[in-house]
Amino acid sequence: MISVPVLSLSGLTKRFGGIQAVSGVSFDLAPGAITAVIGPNGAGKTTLINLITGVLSLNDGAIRLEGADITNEPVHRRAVAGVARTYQTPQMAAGMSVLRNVMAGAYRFGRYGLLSTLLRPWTIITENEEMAERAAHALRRVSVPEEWWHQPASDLPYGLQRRVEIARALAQDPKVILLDEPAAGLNPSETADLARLLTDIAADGRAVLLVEHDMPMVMSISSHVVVINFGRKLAEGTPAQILTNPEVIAAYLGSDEEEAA
Amino acid sequence: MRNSKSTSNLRHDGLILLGLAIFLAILGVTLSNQFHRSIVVLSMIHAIAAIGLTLLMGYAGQVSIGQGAFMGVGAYAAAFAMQQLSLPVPVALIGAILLPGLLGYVIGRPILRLSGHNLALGTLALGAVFFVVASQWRSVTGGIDPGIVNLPNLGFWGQSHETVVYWLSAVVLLVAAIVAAALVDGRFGRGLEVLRTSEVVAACMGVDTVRAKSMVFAIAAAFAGASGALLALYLRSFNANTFGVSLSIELLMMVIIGSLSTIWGAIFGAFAIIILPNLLESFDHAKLLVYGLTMVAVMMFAPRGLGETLLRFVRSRSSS
Repeated sequence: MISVPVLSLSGLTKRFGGIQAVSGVSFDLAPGAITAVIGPNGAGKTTLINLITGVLSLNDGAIRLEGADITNEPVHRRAVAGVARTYQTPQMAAGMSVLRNVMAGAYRFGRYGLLSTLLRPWTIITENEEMAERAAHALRRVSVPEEWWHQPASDLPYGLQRRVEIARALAQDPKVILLDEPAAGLNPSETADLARLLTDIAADGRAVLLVEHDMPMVMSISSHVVVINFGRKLAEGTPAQILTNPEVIAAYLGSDEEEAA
Repeated sequence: MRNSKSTSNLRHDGLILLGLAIFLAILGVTLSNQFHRSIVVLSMIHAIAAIGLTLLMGYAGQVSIGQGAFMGVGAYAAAFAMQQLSLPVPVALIGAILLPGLLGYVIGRPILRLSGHNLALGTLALGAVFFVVASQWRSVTGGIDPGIVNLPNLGFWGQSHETVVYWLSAVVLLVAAIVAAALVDGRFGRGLEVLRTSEVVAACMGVDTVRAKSMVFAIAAAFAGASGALLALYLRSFNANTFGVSLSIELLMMVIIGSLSTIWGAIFGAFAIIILPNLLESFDHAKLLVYGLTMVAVMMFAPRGLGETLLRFVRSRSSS
């Protein structure tokens, strides 16, 4: 697939003291496609997400979003520019309902500034209706039943919290969505639902970055796979190429003996 | 219970506001006892600062033990505007909101790099610094002795000073409540609530966390400023001791006793904290002991705040 990358990473490097958490990692995210990042625990996958969102600052390298250099932009500007993410453990705001959590995701679509709110409090009512509409749309899309919407988000079962988190990211209407192990802790049928949802999200034309350990899911829905080991890119290619790459098999997918067993 | 599809709490808040307005109006008309009236006035005035602190502490999760200082800034600003600049009361009041607000923003940016216990200590130090400045900057504050004296009697058209301050405070309280309710109900409030749980999550959804925290600190300071100015107008003379650390701690208790999760709790808390010591007069020497035990009991049995716990109790009774 030849298309202009939505997100382009070049030479990303992050050191923690003397440890190279990520070193010289480069790859592109294509629109409308799922790009998976796989690698053993501690390979630097979550660090990579933190670098892309700006939560951690780079030691070296550059990040471009649709051609614009966002390397030095603060976290919130990257979010406004179209980068959204989820977390390895769902991060639901305490005491907030499901709907309010997802409405918070639509933050960047607010039309009224703080001063305007102070002077004209009633503008809140229409703005809230718009944001609730966006939130409701996102929640329906990830199939969170409506009876949960007014419950405190942190009371929800784990699987649902994961979906609420994806809804919250979708409410940002992002160009790039970064998912940190979205299938962790899900049962097989939930995982199958998730796979369909992610394919569907990519079909919007968004670039999806999937950090995941569930290999069958990764290989079935990703169009591109990047393998990371010890902070370095080991290989990249289509799922078929990755599955037959001897280096990858040795480092990550296990040796021949295990496969034979 | 929640069957409405309403996405905004504002209508619900509007009802509470209306109830509060009627309650204050009835009290204003019927309370003839000077002492009782003064308690209600003081409660209303403190409630304004407590609402501001609820935004800061309850919603944004940032502790401040320095709100008394911002009340003081408001009080001195109002006094300065009226006595030395001969400005009318409404202008003085606006100045007493803007100045602490601005100061809060400027101080907020660096001090909010701290969090948790460190922030508590930082804001406590802020209060201490304020006290030193207020007691030494004699040309503006009059020092400790005499301090600010002889602020004008606000009585007019045969209405007493107390009556005028009563209605003025009631109006400012109601306006403060509606502004706060709108703020927390909108995206700014949602951003703060997310920020309280995780600054990373808030930033990753587009919230400028540094600015949001500074803004809420400034807003809380502005609310405190309005409260302090009203207190100055009401007392007509005061000095730096009026706005010491004990005031900051009282404000903190109002919020904790009231509720951390709704601005209405602050109003309840303010009334409770102002009224309680007066109810305990009959205990004489044991007054402080009973006061302390009551506070401990509230924290043990109603950790979410007495106001909120009572509200939940009433709701669960009425729905069953």
